[in-house]
Amino acid sequence: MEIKNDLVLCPNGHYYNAAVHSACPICGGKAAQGGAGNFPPTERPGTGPALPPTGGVPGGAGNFPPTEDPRHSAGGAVSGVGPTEPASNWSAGGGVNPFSQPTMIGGDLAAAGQVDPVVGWLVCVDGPVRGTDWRLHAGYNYIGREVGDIHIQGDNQISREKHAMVAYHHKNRTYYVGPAEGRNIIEVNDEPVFNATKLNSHDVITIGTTKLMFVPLCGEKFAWDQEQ
Amino acid sequence: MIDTILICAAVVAVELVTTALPVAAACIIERAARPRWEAQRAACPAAGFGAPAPAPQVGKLHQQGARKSQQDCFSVSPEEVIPSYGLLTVVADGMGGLADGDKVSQAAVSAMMNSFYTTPGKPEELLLTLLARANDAVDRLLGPEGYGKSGSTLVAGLAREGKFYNLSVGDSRVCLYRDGALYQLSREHVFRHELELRAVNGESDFRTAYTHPKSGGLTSYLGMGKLKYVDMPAAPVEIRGGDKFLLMTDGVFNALPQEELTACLEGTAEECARRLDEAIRAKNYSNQDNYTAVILAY
Repeated sequence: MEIKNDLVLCPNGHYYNAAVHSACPICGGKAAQGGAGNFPPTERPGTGPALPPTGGVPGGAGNFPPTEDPRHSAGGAVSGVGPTEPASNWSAGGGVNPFSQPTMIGGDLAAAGQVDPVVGWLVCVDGPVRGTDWRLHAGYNYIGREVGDIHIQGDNQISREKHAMVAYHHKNRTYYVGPAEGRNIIEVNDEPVFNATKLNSHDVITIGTTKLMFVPLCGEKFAWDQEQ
Repeated sequence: MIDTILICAAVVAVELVTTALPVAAACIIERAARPRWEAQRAACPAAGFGAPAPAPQVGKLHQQGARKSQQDCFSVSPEEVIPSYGLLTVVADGMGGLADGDKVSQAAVSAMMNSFYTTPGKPEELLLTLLARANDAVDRLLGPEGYGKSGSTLVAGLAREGKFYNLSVGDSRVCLYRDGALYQLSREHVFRHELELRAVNGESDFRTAYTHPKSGGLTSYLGMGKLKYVDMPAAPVEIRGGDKFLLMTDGVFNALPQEELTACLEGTAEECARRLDEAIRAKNYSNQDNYTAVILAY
């Protein structure tokens, strides 16, 4: 659709959009009723149509919460991969219907720096990288020394990849920890773990020579799917 | 030709805001040679410009194509405010096939236009501020759970004091038609550019870049939360008599090869819009996308 501009000229020479503002947003209701000279202190009368001080944009930005972007991976949003088109046809025509695919969102956004919303953290409380934290996302988080969702560098007692995993299940808002393909046994609160077991807030996972404290975000008080 | 140039540009500077055009590049060089032009411009009053720029003819093309809904949206600021504010044109392409694509593009265009008359700042800063307003509006519309599910591209052009500034997010385009040639002033945010970079860095190959099924996927768009890329040329275009600026959605330039598109751009702005419409209709694509173009003829 075309959006029309319903502009009104106030008595002080300011244009404004009457569809958005009932009175002039620059000089306010009083001036709009004919009280000339009521400029806000930061204005310079006589310089033509005056503009509001920076930051005072009426009808503009609201109070969008400062939550970190809880965007999901684009995979769920992009459905159906269309037929592969040769490069020469990407721009136009060429005998191939250029509209064989709808406009899509993203390429593989996961590779382009997009992340799932954080659901909790692991914090190293003992070990070579004491003080470091890692974000947990929903689903499985694999822990490895060099590869995986959580890299714990510098601890040679941790397998290179998939030593263990920490998982968050959206539906029941529960966290789990379990062994994966690692060689050394992991512990939770100094008890060995052989099958996936529930994780509770501030449990300490021992993996290699590293101790990781678990800090959850989601639970009774909060979950991304009920955040609104 | 433009396509080739853009690909070369991707090789050099995918992360940069690029104006990969002969004419625009010439403008940049000319500007660079002129000392202190920034200071000169800073000395201009914030509003009420001394030298009134002539109002361009405005041609509008806005059609649904073969789609079930019109998800494109556009707006052009009124001629009477040109002396005070300049001329702002906004075109947005709601994400095809996604729910609420029409609402997203309308929210973006409305927010940008509504803030235009009340937002101070030099042109580049103004455009970016208005983009922030548009993205805020889309964020509020979608809510955090709506990120990445619907979205919109947005291109905006601001003509002020004889210069044309433009900004883009997504894959709509801003072009300049001058002396019979069409120059692209904006760069699309599509996955192909990242694939090309991977190929340059030896992590992939060009064949993948050009045949990847998602190579046309948008890597930056309103509706993703924080925007990833914004395209804005390093310097504006000095407007000359006879110039035409074209802001369009992909329904236009995907339907018409560059030569055919260029061939539609002689004559008045209204004639250009009509010719573009006729050319696109003649293609008779069974699933022709929404197509929208605003032509500003000086």
